Amino acid sequence: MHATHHAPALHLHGVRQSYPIRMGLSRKEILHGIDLELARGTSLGLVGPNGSGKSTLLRVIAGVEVQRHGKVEVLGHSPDSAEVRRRIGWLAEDLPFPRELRAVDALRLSATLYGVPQSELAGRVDAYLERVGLAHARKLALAKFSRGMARRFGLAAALIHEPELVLLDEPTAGLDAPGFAVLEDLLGEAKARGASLIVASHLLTDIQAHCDRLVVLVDGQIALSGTPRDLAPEGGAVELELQGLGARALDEIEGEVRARGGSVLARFVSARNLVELYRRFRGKPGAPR
Amino acid sequence: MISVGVVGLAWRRALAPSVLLAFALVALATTWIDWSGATGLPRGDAQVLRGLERRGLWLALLAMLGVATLARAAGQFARWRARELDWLAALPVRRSRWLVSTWCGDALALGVLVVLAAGFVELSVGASAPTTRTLKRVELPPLALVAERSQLEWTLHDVPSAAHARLELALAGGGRAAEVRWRARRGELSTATVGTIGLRTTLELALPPGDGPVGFDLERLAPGAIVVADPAGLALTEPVESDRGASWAIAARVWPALIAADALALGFAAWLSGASAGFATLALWLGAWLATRTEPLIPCSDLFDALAQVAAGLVPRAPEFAHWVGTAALVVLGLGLGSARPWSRQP
Repeated sequence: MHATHHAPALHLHGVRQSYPIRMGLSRKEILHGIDLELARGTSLGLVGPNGSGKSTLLRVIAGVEVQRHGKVEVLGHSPDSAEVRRRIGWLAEDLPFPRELRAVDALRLSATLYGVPQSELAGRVDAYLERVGLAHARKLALAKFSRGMARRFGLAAALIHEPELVLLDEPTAGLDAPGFAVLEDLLGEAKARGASLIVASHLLTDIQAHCDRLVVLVDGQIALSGTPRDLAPEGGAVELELQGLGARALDEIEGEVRARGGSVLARFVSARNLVELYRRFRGKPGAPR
Repeated sequence: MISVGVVGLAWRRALAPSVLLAFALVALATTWIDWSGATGLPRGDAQVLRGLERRGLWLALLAMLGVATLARAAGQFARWRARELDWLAALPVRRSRWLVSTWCGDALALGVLVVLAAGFVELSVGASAPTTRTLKRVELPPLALVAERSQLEWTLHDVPSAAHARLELALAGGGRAAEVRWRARRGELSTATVGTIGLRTTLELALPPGDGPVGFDLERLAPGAIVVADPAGLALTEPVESDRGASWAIAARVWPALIAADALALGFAAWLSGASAGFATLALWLGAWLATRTEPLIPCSDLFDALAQVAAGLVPRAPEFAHWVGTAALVVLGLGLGSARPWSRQP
């Protein structure tokens, strides 16, 4: 593994993936020759409509799908290698953990299998359940989890072994405002310790804040690739989040936009306000968890 | 090689509340059945009555355990693929390690269920009594007939000193009954028993003490029906204080068979649908059993023979070493088959 320490976090060349259909008589191609590279410590957003192949691509990278054509190198090796898998954190779309287990037991089992040392296990499990806001539900069976709780649990399971490459499939699906805050914190921490991130979502707004680069996937092909700023079309709609200004100042800005030939399509309170409110409220006596 | 966490998960799944409930319901249902019902045995043959009850209870519990084990093991891969594929296939754990650990958890849980079954059977049967335990079964010539002026003779070597012998005889025609004398000789000593043979009769004989080969002869004492000795009906036995060992002898056959079936069904299920995997495992065992009956390498191949001994109030012998060798081979085959197939169905 040392020889490939400087290999990119991800290198894909000509990756194609297809599934058998019509009782195996023919195949449907989902990915049509994907070329992609991700440097270590950087983050990539994978955007595209439903059915564009985002989840399939993440599953190929995670080693879940048996790869058919092309070259896949994760952290310099094939994703089939157990040593590489140990360094990947994978949040799948659903909650694919043993549902009859309590959260604490399921997280402990997953962390053990990912090689978290026994001496650190109990502390890390408790810490991550606390981090994702599930400390109160540690003894609850996963089968009884709501969608949002399941997402939080999936995040804890994907990150507890402190992976070098984090793959998140629709991480915001089902998350409430505090859940968004948890996600932001965890992604921030992962980036701070040098992990590479790949985040897939069908909503650009959900992920672009976390990504150095965006890739737009349409019908199994890369349609666009670049920084979030690069991908903003000239003259197209953009979202601008502002804070620290009063209503009058905002009216003046709106007037200036119109004077320059543009238009303000929407003006509403940012969801960040809610996140901040939850953050401040959390931990106060009687506050909901 | 084994993950304790995965063993625990499999153990928990194999002893799921639904399995324990089914076990309890079947056990409860068996207490309402009179297992010695239509046998027409004379009153007072308590040992045989207990034996019949033991056999009946074991048969009911075995049916439940066999079906539950096959259904669960054969459906395991389908459940994994439907619910946990994205976790399992991404784990840095070899499939073989996962499967071996799962099988270990299953095997431990099945051990608990078999012990529970044996305990329940013995509790239901009640008091114990002295009986004999089978040490060895001996093959006789296929047409061992005893008719007028003919005598059946044979010699056995390696016979333990305090052993008894049991011989199953039947009528082959020519009358309604026959009186026979069965004699054993060892050096200068000899013992004998005389019995009237009905449709099917078992004679028992305490063998002369000492070392060395034992010579047997069987002759008809008066004109009557032709008597035939069951080719598999001669057994060397030893007296034991209690007949409770019968349940443990059955348990020692059932547990290896269940854990071998569990491994095979797991292996088949990696390649086939759950139902096909279950039927394939069952068909393989039935086919092997029908073809060989008492091949010691096939787990549980002598189950029905052992149950027949239990029904007669006897304690079957412990399974042979080959039984465990066969079990181990089937487990390796099953887990090997399962490990060879990727988690994902897509090739």
